[in-house]
Amino acid sequence: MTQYSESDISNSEYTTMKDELKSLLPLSPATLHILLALAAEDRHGYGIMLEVARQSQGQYELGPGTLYDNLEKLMRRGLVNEALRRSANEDPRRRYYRLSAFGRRVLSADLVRLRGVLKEAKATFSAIKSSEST
Amino acid sequence: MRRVFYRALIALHPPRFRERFGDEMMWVFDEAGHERTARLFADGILSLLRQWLLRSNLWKMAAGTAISALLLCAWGNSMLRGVDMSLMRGSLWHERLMMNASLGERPRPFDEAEFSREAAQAVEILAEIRKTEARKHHSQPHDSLHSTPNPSGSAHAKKG
Repeated sequence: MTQYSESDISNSEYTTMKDELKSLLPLSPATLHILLALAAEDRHGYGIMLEVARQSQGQYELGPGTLYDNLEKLMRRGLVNEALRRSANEDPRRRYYRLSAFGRRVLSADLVRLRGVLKEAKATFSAIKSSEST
Repeated sequence: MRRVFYRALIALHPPRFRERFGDEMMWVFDEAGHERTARLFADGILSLLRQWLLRSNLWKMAAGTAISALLLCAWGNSMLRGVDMSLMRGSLWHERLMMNASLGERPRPFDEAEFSREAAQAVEILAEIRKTEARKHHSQPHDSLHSTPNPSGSAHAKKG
């Protein structure tokens, strides 16, 4: 099982990332959710769909068409790879997907970006609240 | 029955996508159960449109066809205008256009009424010229006319 640590996300890493990585940001909601679902462990398509629904508390549900369209793009860009089957007894139609090292870096960079957006939003809202109270 | 329809929906996808993910999509449909059928069908239709219109080369072909059609229309239009110009060449209107062009004026669109008026004026002027010539002809003495040797006639006479 792949562990995702907070130390992966750092501002220095974000600023020194390559142009190729920059060109992928910001991630679309579907891509972000898929990469997040694969950050913890390898999953099959239906597992990704269920994990995305769980992460968003049912507010964002991916259909198979959207999921596999995004997975195809992510595999072509090298962010996701196909993983080996867990056992021979499983349904042969079931395929597993794994987040690559490059995919992990892209996800980290986008999370840092989102953290910046959240920080800015908090500062803006607190300023609005303080101006309203006075 | 729903399964058959969903399989047909997958079969309509472009071969590249269908061969890679068709079985997996069918497996997801089997796993998801009946309560999500409507959502799966909606997603399948959207996916079908997305794959054919955006991911395949169909949109490139459509764009190419549209550009070709536009170029063809533009070429046809210029050819028709060329034919019009060649038919018009030698007419008063063409002279007017050429004059405007030489003066640096922008040629006005063809005005049939103005053209008819100018043509009528030209006919009147021609008639006036003919009348004047006829008057001159009548005012000259007949003898002098008869006595003047016709150079062409004499030439013919000599030849004969």
